[in-house]
Amino acid sequence: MNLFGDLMITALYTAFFQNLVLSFAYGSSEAVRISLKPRTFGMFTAMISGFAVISAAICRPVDRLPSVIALPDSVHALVYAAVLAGVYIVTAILLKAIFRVSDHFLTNLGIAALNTLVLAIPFINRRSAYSLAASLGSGLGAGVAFVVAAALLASGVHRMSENKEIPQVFKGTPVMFLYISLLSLGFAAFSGNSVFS
Amino acid sequence: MAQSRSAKDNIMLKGAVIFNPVLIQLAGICIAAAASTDVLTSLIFSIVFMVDTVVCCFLASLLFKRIPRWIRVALYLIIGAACVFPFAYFAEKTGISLNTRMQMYLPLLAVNSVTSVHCEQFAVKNSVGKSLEDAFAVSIGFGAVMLILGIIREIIGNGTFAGLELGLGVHLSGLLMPFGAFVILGYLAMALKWYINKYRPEFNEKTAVKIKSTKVGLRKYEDGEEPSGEPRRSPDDNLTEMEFLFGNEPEEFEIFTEFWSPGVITAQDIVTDMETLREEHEQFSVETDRRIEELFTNMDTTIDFEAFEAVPAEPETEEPQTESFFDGDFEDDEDEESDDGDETDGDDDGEEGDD
Repeated sequence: MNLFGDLMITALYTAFFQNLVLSFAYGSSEAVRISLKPRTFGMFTAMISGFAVISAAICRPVDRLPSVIALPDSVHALVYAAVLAGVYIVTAILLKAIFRVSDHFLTNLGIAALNTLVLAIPFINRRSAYSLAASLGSGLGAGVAFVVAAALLASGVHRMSENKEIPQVFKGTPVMFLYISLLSLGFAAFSGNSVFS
Repeated sequence: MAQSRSAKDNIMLKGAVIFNPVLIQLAGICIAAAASTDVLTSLIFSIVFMVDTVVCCFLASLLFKRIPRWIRVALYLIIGAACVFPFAYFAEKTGISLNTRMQMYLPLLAVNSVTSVHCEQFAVKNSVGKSLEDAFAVSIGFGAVMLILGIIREIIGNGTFAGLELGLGVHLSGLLMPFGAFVILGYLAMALKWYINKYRPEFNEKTAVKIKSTKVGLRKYEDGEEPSGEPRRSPDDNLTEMEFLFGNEPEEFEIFTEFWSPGVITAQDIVTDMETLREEHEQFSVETDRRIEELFTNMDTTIDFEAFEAVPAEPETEEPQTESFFDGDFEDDEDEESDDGDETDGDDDGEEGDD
């Protein structure tokens, strides 16, 4: 029960209070881009959530190996990158062999697997000294955070594209950045940091 | 000679300014927003980014052309990690990485989307020389954004410049949070858009935000169903249906097109789906394309007919490619990794050749 509780609490915290995409900008490029492609929204967010959980599940035990635990941070980064690349390649080969998915699908899989959000999860888990259950929750929460961020962005992009009152020079990427900044500010409010000092 | 220099300038201008990786292509936002809290950090990230991008683009252009794209994506990560590791290790050993952001975000440069986008969209389709030019141009564009962000955020957010206290009474420390970077990025993007509108209007459309949700499909008419020949709205407001009769075909089909939102949608969006449809329905032909084009003229949507026609054409231009807005990821490119690797300068996917 404790394990499940750890997992769920960390997932909820990561997804809604500490939204990694909007508060810390992890994976924000992918979130913005996917918000412009609503057709691939479901598939891509599912992929990114899956890889976030898998990378958390593998990297946390690897982190605790006696031969790895004492290594410098920079070497840990290499280990995480290797794990991520390995997970992606194995997944791609399995999907290709079993389901005969297209190379186009696999390329999208690569984008979902190899991005700042998925690579950041093992770092966060290590820095926060999360247990395995909490690490899994962190990965799950990161996936949900991505879904929340991408959904909010997609909704905003849709509305902004129809808004005729936006000045011409602000249309497109400028207003998109400003919209993200408002969402980011909203989630930053949970951090308790002061805007002025 | 003059022409070569002009082409070089073109790559630099496009890569660094017109198609700025952060402000226009919306790539590398994570690093730009989260790591650019002061000048020194921004400078270090810009240098590491340049090394990573140049090495990746060089190898992609030299060696990866015949490797399937889904494997190349992983290779970019491995090369990126190998490039970033020495810097991260050095920073750690010298104590620079005591800066939390440096410690956390420097390794993430290995998976930055700008590098993989430019390797995939430019380097693997062009010569080594042009790929390097593009890599430098993109690095300059990215570095410029990082430095501007770093300067503004450090001065206003922290009251210092390059670590020197400026004695400002009030600090807007919120600017050091990612939301502060997003605000500045918004105004920088606005300034760039103003520049493009005013001085390079030919790039207006290519740098515009496109919502790529066009869906083109085929539905066979039911027995006894008659095509009306007029565009009609579906019960769902987001769906516009258009009927089309294949006069020369043995069967009648309906083409329906879904626009998730109004906006600038180039014909390339449509063609992406058309390519798939062609594989499934051999009835599609050049004549069909022409008639579809006629149909789209009736819609309240901007269609780039030149791009539409350019797709089936053979490579014919010497102009190197630079990706248009939001072709940054690989999603809309159909798989063609194995067949165009040796075409160095050509417009081999028809998607960016019009740049």
